[in-house]
Amino acid sequence: MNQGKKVIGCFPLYTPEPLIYAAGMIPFGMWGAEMEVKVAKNYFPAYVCGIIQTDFELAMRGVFNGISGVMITTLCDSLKCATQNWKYAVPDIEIIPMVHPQNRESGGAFSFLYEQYKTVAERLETISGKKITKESLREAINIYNEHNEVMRCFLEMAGKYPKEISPLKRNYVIKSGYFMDKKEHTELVRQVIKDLKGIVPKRFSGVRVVTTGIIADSEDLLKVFEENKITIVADDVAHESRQFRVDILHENDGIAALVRQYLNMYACSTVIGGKINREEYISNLVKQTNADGVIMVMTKFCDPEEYDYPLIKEKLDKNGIPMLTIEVDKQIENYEQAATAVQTFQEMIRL
Amino acid sequence: MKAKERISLLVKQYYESANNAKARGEKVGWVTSNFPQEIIEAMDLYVIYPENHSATIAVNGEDVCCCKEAEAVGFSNDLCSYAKINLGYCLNSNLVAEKIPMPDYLLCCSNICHQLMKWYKYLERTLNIPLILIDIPYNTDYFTDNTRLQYIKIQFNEAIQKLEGITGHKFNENRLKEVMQISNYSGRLWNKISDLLIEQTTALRGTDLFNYMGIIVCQRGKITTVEALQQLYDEMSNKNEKYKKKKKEEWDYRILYEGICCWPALIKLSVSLARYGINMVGAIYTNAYGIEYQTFDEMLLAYTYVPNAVNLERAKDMRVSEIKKKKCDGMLVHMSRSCKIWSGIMYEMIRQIEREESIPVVTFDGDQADKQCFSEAQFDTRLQGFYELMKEN
Repeated sequence: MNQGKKVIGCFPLYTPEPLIYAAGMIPFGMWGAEMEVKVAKNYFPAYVCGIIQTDFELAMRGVFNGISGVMITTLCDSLKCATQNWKYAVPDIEIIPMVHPQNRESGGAFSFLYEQYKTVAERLETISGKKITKESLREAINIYNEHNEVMRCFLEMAGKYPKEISPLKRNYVIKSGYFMDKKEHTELVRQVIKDLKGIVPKRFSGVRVVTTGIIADSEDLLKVFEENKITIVADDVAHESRQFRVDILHENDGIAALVRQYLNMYACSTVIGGKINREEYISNLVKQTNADGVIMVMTKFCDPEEYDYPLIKEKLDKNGIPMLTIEVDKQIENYEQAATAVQTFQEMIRL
Repeated sequence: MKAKERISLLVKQYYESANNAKARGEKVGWVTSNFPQEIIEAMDLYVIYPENHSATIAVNGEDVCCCKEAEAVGFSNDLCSYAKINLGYCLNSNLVAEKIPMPDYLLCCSNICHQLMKWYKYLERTLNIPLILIDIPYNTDYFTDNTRLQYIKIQFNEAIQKLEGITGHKFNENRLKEVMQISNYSGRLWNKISDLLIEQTTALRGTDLFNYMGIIVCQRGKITTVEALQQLYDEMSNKNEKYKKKKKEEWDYRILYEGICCWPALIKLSVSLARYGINMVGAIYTNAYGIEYQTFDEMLLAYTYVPNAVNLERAKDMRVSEIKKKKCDGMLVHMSRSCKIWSGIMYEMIRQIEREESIPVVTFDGDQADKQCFSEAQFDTRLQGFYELMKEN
């Protein structure tokens, strides 16, 4: 905003960010914060997830004042409610609802989403006062694909440098991307990769895990991982790798390319179907990275994730892959119980 | 036979016919409650509505053991209790008295919630059977636009093609027209029965509508449903006429019941309301199945306007119009613990309705099918408070 650019807040999970970028604005990730919920309680019962509740809490307290709009998806039931409550809880910040089709195999899904994206693009143009041109969208798509590639490269590297890149540092690198220009972020991460390549990784004798869940950004929890010599070699976290997993294929029509990106998504709890099942995907990830186990960071009251849990557990049990589930809530202040569980988990693996 | 008995019999026969069909080797489907049932009826398919079955299990007091069975394999206790009961049933059908045949295929429509898709996806995976999804996306706008209608229309035709392949039953357009006519008739009769509650002097107790829901949810495309509902309507209106002539005492208060039925506490709700002289004259949950339309497109549109698929403004207007039509003195809100899509916009909706209608609104905590979430003590206190507020208003 200091550079005179307008900012659009983006709720989880998949908003067409390149459209925002192409309209000359900066997307800003809104994945909640660790804080106590007070005023947002006027809009949600206690059993709605902490990400949505704390996003509302921040907005209602004026923390987001100055942003030019907020894009909220309808990828779960609580998000649907968020699109409605926002209009009354935060009337000063315009909402752009983003509705995705869920029957992605249907012949009608493409046109439906194409029209949704077109409407969203028009709204964004009105807010920014700038037209989204074929060129600006192509450039934005390039920037996002480049960012995806660099992030995938970083995440792979992070797994090979467990001593140098702690779980917390790994998360800082990912999370910072939500709050800055993607182009700048790409350059910074590229530099991190270059620096890492210049050094020989220190010997690591700890436990190597794959994480899965919606979000795993709690500093306290990630410190618990580090204290217990746990490193993240790969992840299936919505806030992390799921964002960089599927590229936007190049085609003449940029909006069509964005539509196809969504239609090609897979192994996500909020998007129905896809070329590979999530438990299969996680299990393969463990094999590919030679990980010792899986930690599922379960966002409390997240029903899409809760429905996936039994199948993931069954699959990993069957394949003899140890799994630990830690329930997180944006309002949890102490992780003592989680620390004990993590300690037991790593001891069990080391046996 | 009285209409009430006739309806019970039809529901019983419907379950029996599905069980018999399965025994004969016919394919049986499981379907979500707001799936366009016209397809099913027009193709002469045997289906079961698990949500209805879960509600029956809850009324029979077998809900907790089914939920626990599902929780034992890892399903969180936060999830939809209709889903949990059904998943528990799939794991151990001996837990309940009312048995349903296991499905050969699944029909899911997303116009109720996202959770339904996850529930049916799980069934598809674990039972290894085909799932046909009709996605009716949540509408953040007041009206359904043509883009959305086209998407639904394409899926409607795709669903028919897939179903023909799975079941071997052929789709017949003329039969669809006939079924649409019958369904429309059922919907109209259901609404007419509900509208008998408009009259100040009524012999009909609104909570009874919950007991008749089974037939309108599961069988509204059948001629037997039209006949039974016509009989129910005739009986109720005759009773009303006699009631009026005797100038019997009217109900003290008329209320709108908001939220899904709290099935485990239905008897408690009905008895407690009557004790305070309160009649539930309207309920959005029962109204949801009074689907009326003329054309094919209107039928599809009707499925986009079911309670959980619409935005807050339309949802609020649905309540306000019912409050006005039925001259309600108050609104009693069931905050259903495991139905996030319904409860998640309720606080703001309550504020808007209170502002517009100036009637008391009171909430109580419960669940559609898990009695562990319902507290009798809280309900009693809230109901008493609600009664006092209406008295003062």
